[in-house]
Amino acid sequence: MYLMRLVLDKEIVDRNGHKAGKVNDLMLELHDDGALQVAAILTGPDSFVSLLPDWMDLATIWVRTSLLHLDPPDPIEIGWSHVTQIDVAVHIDLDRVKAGLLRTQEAVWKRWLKPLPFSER
Amino acid sequence: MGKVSSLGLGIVTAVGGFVDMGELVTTSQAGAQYRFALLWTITVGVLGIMVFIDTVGRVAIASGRSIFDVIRERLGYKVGLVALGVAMLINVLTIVIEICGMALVIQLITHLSYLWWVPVAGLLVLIILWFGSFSLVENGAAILGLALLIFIVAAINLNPPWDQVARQMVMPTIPQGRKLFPYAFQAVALLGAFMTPYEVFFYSSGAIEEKWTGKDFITNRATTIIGFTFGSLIVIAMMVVAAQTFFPHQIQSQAFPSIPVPVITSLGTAGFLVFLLGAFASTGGAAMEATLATTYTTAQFFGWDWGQSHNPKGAPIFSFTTILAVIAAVIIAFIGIDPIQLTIYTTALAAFSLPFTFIPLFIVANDEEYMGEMKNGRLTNIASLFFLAVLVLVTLATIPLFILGGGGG
Repeated sequence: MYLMRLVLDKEIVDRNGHKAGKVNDLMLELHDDGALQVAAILTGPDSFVSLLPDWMDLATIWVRTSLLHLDPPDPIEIGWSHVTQIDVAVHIDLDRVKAGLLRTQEAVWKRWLKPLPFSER
Repeated sequence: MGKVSSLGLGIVTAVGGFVDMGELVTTSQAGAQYRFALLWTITVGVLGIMVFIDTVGRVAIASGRSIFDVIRERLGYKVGLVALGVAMLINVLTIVIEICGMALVIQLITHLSYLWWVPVAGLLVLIILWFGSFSLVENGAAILGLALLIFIVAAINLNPPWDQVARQMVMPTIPQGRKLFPYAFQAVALLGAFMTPYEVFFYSSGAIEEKWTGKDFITNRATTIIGFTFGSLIVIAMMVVAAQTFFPHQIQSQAFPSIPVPVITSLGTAGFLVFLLGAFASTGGAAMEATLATTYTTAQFFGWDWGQSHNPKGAPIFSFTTILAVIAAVIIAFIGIDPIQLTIYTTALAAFSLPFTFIPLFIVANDEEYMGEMKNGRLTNIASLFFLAVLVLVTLATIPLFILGGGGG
């Protein structure tokens, strides 16, 4: 419970100090001795929608595939070993672009904004 | 320049937030129907919004986080999502009425139906938000919005009984022959107009955009008090001039063209022209702020890049949501709902929604982990709890009053 309070819903900050989404959920591993260990933090719109009613899943899939031309959704996993610090945010040692954490933002840019006039202002 | 800019933030939320379509409509109606009997709502509304705006400013300074960032972090996604949904509904409706307000001002000049001007107003809002910086949105609206000081000049000119005005600022009364429920519904709409949620989100996010630090603590408090006191003088004058002009003749102010009538009566064509400038700037400024409030809250909730300092490529979902919010508002405006009635309903709904924002804010403001030394003091907590109790009461009463009071009509 303490870890959930400490990590869940916090902002993720990448190694360059940029926003990289929110911690939407945690992936836990059950060891042979019965101990639970955090394996990864889950982020991205898909991990968020999985917390919500089923019909929102369908809506998200439609938005991602039809409007954004993205693959069917999968939550983005960030291995717990990449977490370097937890304070008011969760800091990771990854670059947000290379780690694919901006997939949705990039898709919105390419599909909907870039074709507009003065988009590169 | 930093201090001046911070001061501007307080003034813009006072003018753009306090004086927007909500105030223009509700104060005019209230003055016409109830004379000075609803002036007390200004006292409650102004003091309440001062307390809450001061709090969001402190939260931004102490934690470096905007309100929706903190609401989700501190209270989880479920509560956060409810607060976000309610905020988005009210914000989009606010954009609708502000864009309609801009269009109605142009209608007064051109005599062409406001519906022709709705898309033009929407496009103007989008263009400024697309190309403009945060300081342009903030200062541009603030400077032009000062034109609404004309209401104070008109009020002085109409020479109302100031002793009665002062008494009614602190004393709720129902004029003889008036029914309780429509009066109470009008009071709720006024409170919603004075304490609109979008100005809280805009202020909170603006503090982050302007990179406020501990040094801005005094600035936050001073601008809140000065800014909203300044804003309240204008709305007091707006209600007083409507009371002086309409109430003695039992004329109701139910249409937009009647709002400037007291100014025209008092100051003639010159006053009318200044009103047009001020009303357009205030509704335009509020339309931009409400649009930004919608996009700020959404981006903050999901952890996307946000801010007017980014270009569209740097914060694509933020920019895209801006476009969607304005387009949605223009489409809703085109449904053809009477913008004056929609304003009353929106401000009443805003009053209904206030606890969804202010209760989480109150919890966060008392969290030492986030606030450190800037957490709420005893006096602030007493004031906050008082206004929260008022807001909860208002929330519980809004829908029954809407039914019993006939929507304020």
